[in-house]
Parts: sequence; C-alpha cells; structure tokens
Amino acid sequence: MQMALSEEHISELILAKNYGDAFDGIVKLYGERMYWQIRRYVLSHEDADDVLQECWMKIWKNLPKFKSHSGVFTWIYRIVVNTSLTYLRKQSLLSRFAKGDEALKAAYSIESDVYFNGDALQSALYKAISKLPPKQRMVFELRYFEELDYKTISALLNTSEGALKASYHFASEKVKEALKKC
Amino acid sequence: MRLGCLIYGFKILELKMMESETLKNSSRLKENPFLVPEGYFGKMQERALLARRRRRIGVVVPLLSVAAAVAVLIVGIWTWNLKFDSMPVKNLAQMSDEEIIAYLIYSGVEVEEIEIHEVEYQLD
Repeated sequence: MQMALSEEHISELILAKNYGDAFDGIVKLYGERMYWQIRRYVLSHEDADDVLQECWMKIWKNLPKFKSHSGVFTWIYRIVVNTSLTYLRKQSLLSRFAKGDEALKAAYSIESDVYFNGDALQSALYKAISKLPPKQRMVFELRYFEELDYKTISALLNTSEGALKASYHFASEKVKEALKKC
Repeated sequence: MRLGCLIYGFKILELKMMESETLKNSSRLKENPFLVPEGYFGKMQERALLARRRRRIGVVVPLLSVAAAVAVLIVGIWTWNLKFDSMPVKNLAQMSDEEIIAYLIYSGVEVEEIEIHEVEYQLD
C-alpha cells in the first residue's frame, strides 16, 4: 500500500499542474476524514456517500483554481461544508414538497438507520439535529462538534458572526429541549 | 433608554448562549455513533476515481442534452399551439407558495436562490 502524501506535497503537485497525482493524494490523505465530516452533517451513510462523490467531482473540477495561500485542507473543508449544506437544503425542500417514495427517501430516520450504533441519548441528539433547518444544523455541527470559532464559521458560510451566534443559540436550545425529554 | 434596552437584550442573549455551552459538557454526546458498510473505505480510491471520470463524461452529456432539449422544444411548441385555446390560465396570485416553489425547482431555479428568501423571512 502506498504512503499518503503530506499536505505540502499535495499543494506542490497542484501548483505543478500534476492534478492526477494531487487528486490521488487528496483521496488518500483526507478521504476518510471527509467522509466522517459529511456523515455527521447529513447523518445517513447513503447520503454521505452521495455528497462525498459530489465533493470528489468538485475537487477534480476546481483543482486548477486552487490558490496556494489557502491550505489544501482549508480549501477542501470549504467544498465539503458547502456541498453538504446544499444537499441538506435540497433534502429539506424535497421532504416538504415531494410525495410518496421521494418524500420517504428525503426524510432521514435514526431508528431505521442500520449503520447507527449509538445509545438512547445519542439517538435523541441526532434525532433533534435532523429536525433543525439546514443552516442552523450546519452551524450547530461546526460549533458544537468541530468547535470552530465564529470567525472561522463566518468565513466558511459567508454569514455574519451575529447571525451565526443567534443560529447556534436557537439550534442548541432546540437540541437541549429534545435531550431533556430523553 | 433605547440603547439601554438593547444592551440589556444582548446581555440576556449572551447569558442564554453561555447556557447553551453546557451541551459541551457531555463528552459522550460527541462520540461517533455511526458505522460504515464493511470494506467501504477500502474502495474509496476506486470510487473517487469513478467520480472524477464522471466529471469528464459530463462535458459530452450536455451536448446530447442540448440536442434533445431542442427536439423537445420543437414538439412542445407545436403541441402548445394546438392546445393553447383550451388551456386554463392560472393567475400567479391564485397559486400557493408550494406550487410556485415546485414550479421554480421544476424550471431549474437553484435551491439556494429560493432558500435565500426563505432565510430572510425566518431570520435564520
């Protein structure tokens, strides 16, 4: 098995326009980390896999536009967050307006997820998260799980820090309320 | 007076935000409860390569799509002309938000564009 490249090496490969090797390096170095990040945002394995495939397409398409002043992971992180957020928004619209099988597919249920192995408290937590509006959900994930500061989240989501603080407040209140019932 | 109320309001919000931080105290909640199908990560490189190739195919597909769309448009205009007189016309004001949103998505408007207005209304 080949060794994973370092972030600096990948950055050099991109700047040298060796996109094929750079892409392979990104998959090896960040693939698993990206999957887990997306999985927590979208919850179901199937959705996480779909979003990950979309991220690979975006990364490949945008490699020539990569600027070295932002690190490779920061650049990827932005793609992952925004692709996941777009996906959540689409799912949210689908679950509201679709009918039949389409609606069922869009509505995630922690109870029927065979790849969920959490206890009752974790189940209540993710159930509450799955009910948050997409933007609030993303802010909650970034702040609570990833412990990013508001300045970083603001740059990632292109939203003012004040709006993010309010979003996080509302989201965590809803989550706490759901956990109290557990 | 107004400024005082505003500062007081922010203080309350700040206190409530501090309360929200109590969620952080439960480390168990932050443990990863998710699983993946066996061998999933072993196939990651292969699947990423497939996604990358799909991107290349994506350049050819739009050309075929454009040709198909033109054909559909010609048939559509012809059919429209035949049926136009008998079609009921619905005023925009009579349509529900759901119908308008469904139509916008159907006609290819990006979901984000619809969401932007929604977010503004909800102050999310």
